[in-house]
Amino acid sequence: MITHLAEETVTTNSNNVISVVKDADTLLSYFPYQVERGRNTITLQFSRFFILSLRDTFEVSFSQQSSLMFVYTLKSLTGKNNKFQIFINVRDNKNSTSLVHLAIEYSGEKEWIVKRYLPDIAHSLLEGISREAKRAYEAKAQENEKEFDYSRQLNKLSFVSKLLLKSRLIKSEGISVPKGQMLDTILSSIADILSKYKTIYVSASSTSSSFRLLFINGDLKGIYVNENGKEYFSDENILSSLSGEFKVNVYVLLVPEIPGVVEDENS
Amino acid sequence: MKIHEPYILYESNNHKFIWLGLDESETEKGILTNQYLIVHGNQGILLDPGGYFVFERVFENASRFVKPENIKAILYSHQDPDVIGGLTLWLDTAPNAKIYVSYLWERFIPHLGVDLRERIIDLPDEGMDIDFGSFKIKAIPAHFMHSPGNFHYYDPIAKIYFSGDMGAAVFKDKWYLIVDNFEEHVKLMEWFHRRYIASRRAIELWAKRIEGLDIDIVAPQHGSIFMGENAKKFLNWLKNLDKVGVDFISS
Repeated sequence: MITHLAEETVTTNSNNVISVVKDADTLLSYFPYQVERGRNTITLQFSRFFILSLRDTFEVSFSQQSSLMFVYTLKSLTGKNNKFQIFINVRDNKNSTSLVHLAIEYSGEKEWIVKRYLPDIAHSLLEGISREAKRAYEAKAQENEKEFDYSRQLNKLSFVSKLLLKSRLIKSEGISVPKGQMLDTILSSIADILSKYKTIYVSASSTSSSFRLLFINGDLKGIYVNENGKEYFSDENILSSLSGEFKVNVYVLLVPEIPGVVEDENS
Repeated sequence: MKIHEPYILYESNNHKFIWLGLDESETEKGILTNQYLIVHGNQGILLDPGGYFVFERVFENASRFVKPENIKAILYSHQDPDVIGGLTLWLDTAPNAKIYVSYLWERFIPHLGVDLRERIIDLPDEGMDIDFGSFKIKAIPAHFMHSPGNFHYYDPIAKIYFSGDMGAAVFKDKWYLIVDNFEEHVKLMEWFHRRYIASRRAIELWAKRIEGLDIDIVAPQHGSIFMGENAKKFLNWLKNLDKVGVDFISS
């Protein structure tokens, strides 16, 4: 039998994490090396070279050992004694975070091949748990927010994609901006439409940075800046510090309400 | 069903060909879409990155291998919504990507609400080699194999042939990424190909176009991937389909 242990701190409470861990469909979606899925089965294939490969189909079962300990068992359906067991322990940690311990065991044929893939599997599963739990936490936090934080939303693909889906691109241009003049340059670029449309979304990118702005009823309500991988929210100073050549796209929202905002404010 | 983890189909020192995961929405049961990313050095090339519903997963998975600003091209096989539906989002999130599609669709795609003037490269009917510096992808004409302006793409380093809708399979109870039993798999493909390919003549023209290509893997936009012998079996099966498309239209 071979085993690999891993742990991850997730920035949300254990309830959000546990609900992800118990959702087999979501958890298994993060299982790497899967080449086949049935209702309750999964086929894994390790390595692309025939001699050094292992391919087997497993039946998946889930059990809860205690309020904080969960086990997934993958048992070979092909008459071999190949078996994976994944033990996941979740507990609350300091500062409203959770600590997730994951142990993955494999016993059966070609253990020497599977051994090199166990860290990767553990990493993918933990990353998936972290990502999905964070998503659940953010969705709940958004429901509870009295004022919608547009700057934070502009960082989320789901928000931006909803916005773009209901918008029309009305301007796409390259601009050259000296330091300290970004906002003025953007404002003059959209001056002719600022009063015409309720919601205007601006996205811009250069080789090292990008930013997204949201104007509602003529006011700048959301600022998201990504400079060399570092993220800034609602920070006009950072926006002003940007300079150089930018590609700018300007979109206008074609529906009266911003997608994803109305139902949350009403809830 | 959803699969968030990508699968690397080919990998060498500076070249990868990656399948980008899977989502099944309630309304597309059975017809699942595949999206692929080619990474060469630090540049990325997306193949049929799909519609709105799959955008987040495709973007996140692609970003694991290449910076969005380094995505240099998005290659479209044709104009269907499950292929180009997310174009608005890609134009914004991959700001340096050029869009390659048959010239037939240039006048229709802007109806998505996009301005393609400086981004689109029209593919001529006869196809072309798309140059990425140290390697080229071949845009292979496959008109009327699905759409009137239809292209497949061939990656000569990975020897992978992206076949657009050719190879589509309609799954029932289970899904699999790589075809194992070709004869069984044909049952999931046959109806789709007989109904959607316009005519036998289209097959013959396409078959001539791919003569001489060294193909190890066929990667379709729907269905499962054909590797090795199964890739050869699939191409032969397709070349030899007798009645298709208009043959089935009754007066």
